[in-house]
Amino acid sequence: MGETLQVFIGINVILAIGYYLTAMTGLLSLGSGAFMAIGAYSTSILTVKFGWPFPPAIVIGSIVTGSISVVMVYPALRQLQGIYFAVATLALLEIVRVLFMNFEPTGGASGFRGMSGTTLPWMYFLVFLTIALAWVISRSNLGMRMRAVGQDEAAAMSSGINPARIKMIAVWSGACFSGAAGALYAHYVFFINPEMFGWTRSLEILLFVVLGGGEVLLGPVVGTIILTALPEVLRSQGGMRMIFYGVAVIAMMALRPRGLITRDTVQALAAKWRIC
Amino acid sequence: MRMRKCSLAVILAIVAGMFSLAPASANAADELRLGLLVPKSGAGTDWGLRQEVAAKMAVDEINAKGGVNGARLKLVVMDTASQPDQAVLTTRKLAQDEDVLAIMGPFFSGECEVAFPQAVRLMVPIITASSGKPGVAANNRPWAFRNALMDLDHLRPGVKKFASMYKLRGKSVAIVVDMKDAWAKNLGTNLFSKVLSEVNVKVMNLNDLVTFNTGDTDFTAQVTKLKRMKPDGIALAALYGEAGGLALEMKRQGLNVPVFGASGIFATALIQRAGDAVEGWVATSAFWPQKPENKVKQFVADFASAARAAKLGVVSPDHFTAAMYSNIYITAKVIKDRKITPKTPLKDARLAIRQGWEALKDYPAVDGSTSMTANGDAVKTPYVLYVKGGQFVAAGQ
Repeated sequence: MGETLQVFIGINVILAIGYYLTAMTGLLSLGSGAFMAIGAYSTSILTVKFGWPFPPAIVIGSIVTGSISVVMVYPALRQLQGIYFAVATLALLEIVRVLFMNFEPTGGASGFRGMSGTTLPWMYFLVFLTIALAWVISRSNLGMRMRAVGQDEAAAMSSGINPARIKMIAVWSGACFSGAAGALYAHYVFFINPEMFGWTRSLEILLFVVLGGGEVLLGPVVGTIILTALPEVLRSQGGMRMIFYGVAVIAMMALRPRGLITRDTVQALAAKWRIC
Repeated sequence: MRMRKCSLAVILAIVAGMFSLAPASANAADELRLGLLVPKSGAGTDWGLRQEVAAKMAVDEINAKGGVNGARLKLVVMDTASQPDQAVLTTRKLAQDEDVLAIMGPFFSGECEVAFPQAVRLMVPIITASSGKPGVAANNRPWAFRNALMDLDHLRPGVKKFASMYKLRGKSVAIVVDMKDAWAKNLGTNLFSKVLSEVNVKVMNLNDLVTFNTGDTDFTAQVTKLKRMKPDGIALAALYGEAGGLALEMKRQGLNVPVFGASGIFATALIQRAGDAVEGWVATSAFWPQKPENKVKQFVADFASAARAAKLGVVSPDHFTAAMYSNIYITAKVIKDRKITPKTPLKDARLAIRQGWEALKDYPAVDGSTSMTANGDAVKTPYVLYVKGGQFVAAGQ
């Protein structure tokens, strides 16, 4: 598998896990693209304008994205539920896009170039770090509370959980990961402009998680790998490529409506291989 | 329960099957491989498919005459789907997996912005036939080239001819602009005022441009506004569909002034729609399909048959198509002159092709004389045309 495909899969896995963490609390967020953009631009400003080396830049860029996400999402979080929250995150996408379109220091609509630094080892390191962190969160007390909020907010509140705070933490961590993915992306393609982080990207990530399975961590990972690699694998089919892809997606939805990997799958596999 | 586990196994089996579909492409040792990146889906499909036909036509013609230095040319085509991510992926694939000598394309400036740096890293010459955004090649020296006419390079002669034809020096024109189309918007809000001032033509509405959007069909308001302004001429930044609609409205309201429309309005469809409402309108182009030159006539005729054979229906070549055709021919010439053969080491072959493109001077391409400049953009032939007697003809000296 070529290097580019591996890098794109890795970036998408990090984005999908970021989305998954937010979705655990029941939030339908279409803001992946916006956070990816903020991470990409802030990290690139550090490496290109201030000459920082890539690793510390991506850490700061990721944290910056998380912080900005908290500020931007908090008002929506307090007032809006479900689909209305999703619409608010769409608005966020548009705000971020217009902001960068008019922000001249990073090129505005013409785009921003000169960043580089993503290598395969770094990418794998960050992917495994993301999976590890998400796994730890998922199995921890925090993860339990996130799932509680996701399943029944009222019941969670009556158990003493503060849903707003839990959701905030979920959004923050999801945005940090998305920001890191954005930084990786920028430093691999060497050029970014605001158009690259639109709603199609957010929707794509949603698809990976929905098809892969939103119940357990393995779902987004498997879904992302398969759905990112599939169009490339099908390239040999020429014009029929996207038709095959569509058929594959429909087949997955029809045969596995809860996702490719569900909680049952993991339990069955664990029982079979006698793990935990 | 069994159904669920079973269905997962089925899915994974199908997917595994799909993964195994990808064949490794056979690398014949006696071919000269050229890569082609075109959008075969998405926003640029129409242009991409035509470019593919033109490139294949050129390769077939060259091979029919015995190839280059005794070897056949082989075109490896990949679809960028009008997406920058795909442009990155396919550029690297062509350079690393397919071992091409050079890459033709990609199409969009957005694709070029990300494909060019990859080509620079991988040290493979990449030549687009269509990107127009300023600076894209200049920022990716020395491996990226653009065989495309830059906007200013056809606007300047066009506006100059327009001003002299209609004696507009010292007079005032109104700018009308389609704000939804990125190219038109740049022309109307940025480039027009620059080139008009260079020929001493005043712009009367710099702070109050007359605007509309792609897809609009009702231009009553715009023409009424223009009539009130009483311009001596109009500089129109638009595409031919809306331009036709505007022309008809101008005729209806009796607004009869000279109009300069740049390359966006250069299409037979404009005259078909607006008839005598566009008589006298001036356009520019990077390619003139009706040029009374044998080479051009032959190309247009051959392209029509090739397009029909490729099931594209009745299509004519535009300047993107002509430039891509030239790309292949110029690269073939460079390969011939530098004596590159399939036995030449890949690195040396790529370097030689790059140097050949750098040194390109006055090549008689089907779209006009073509030379390369130091910043990677080509100097080509701009055509200034106007509508006379229901046809586009060359604007006189």
